[in-house]
Amino acid sequence: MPTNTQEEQYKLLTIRLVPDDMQRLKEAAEHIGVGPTVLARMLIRQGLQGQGGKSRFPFASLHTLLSPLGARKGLTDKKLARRIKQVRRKQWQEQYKEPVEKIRKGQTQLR
Amino acid sequence: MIVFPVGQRGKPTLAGEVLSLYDEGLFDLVISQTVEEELLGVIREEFSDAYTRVLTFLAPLAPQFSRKPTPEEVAAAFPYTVDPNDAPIFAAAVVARPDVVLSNDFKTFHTEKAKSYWKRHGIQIESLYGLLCVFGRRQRRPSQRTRRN
Repeated sequence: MPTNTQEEQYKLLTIRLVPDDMQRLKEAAEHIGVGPTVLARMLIRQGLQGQGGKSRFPFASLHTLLSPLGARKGLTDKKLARRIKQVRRKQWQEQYKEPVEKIRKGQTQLR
Repeated sequence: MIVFPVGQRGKPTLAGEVLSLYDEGLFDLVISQTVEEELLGVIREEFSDAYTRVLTFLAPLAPQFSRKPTPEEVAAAFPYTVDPNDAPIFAAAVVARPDVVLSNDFKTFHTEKAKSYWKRHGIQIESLYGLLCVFGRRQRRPSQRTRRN
């Protein structure tokens, strides 16, 4: 019978979480599209790597990842700003436009 | 800022100088889920090959991102924006409760209307140059000083 070699690489750890932490873990995991177990594993790994202080956003690593790609693509500040505007417009339309307009309409009627 | 910390002649840009201040630990960053989504949206469009790598990179940081604003909070920001598309970003900044909002988008974040929004919420708005002034790396230009008084 074939065995799942990836599963065999892991040791099992059962941890108890207070409901609030469990809820936050689930929400954070859902937000980034992974399961809570995967996120918990990532957080433990990150915590073990960055012991001795609050972890700061690793801008240098993100820059190392993105900068060569931007250069290769000939991306300029202006092009990037245009793209940001497009993405922002999409976020507004998909997530906020309708509920915000409803709220504003309600406020106008109250006045 | 992430993509262009160095100019064409190899000299650090203003963004690069601000990044150095950050690396020195002179200030901390609060990042909103709204900004993270925006970043991922740009990556998806511009650097689709790197999308999964960036997603994996950001995943462990997710718990430290501040929450997205509610529609009510966005509606409250709406009158202070020139373009309604920017209202969620305005509201997200207030939800994150920073001391300073950093942006070099003058037409959006530094207008009189926008400034009154930041003031109302006790937030200082700075450009990259302005932040360097805050840390004594540059001098405020006379016009800026006058405007502040």
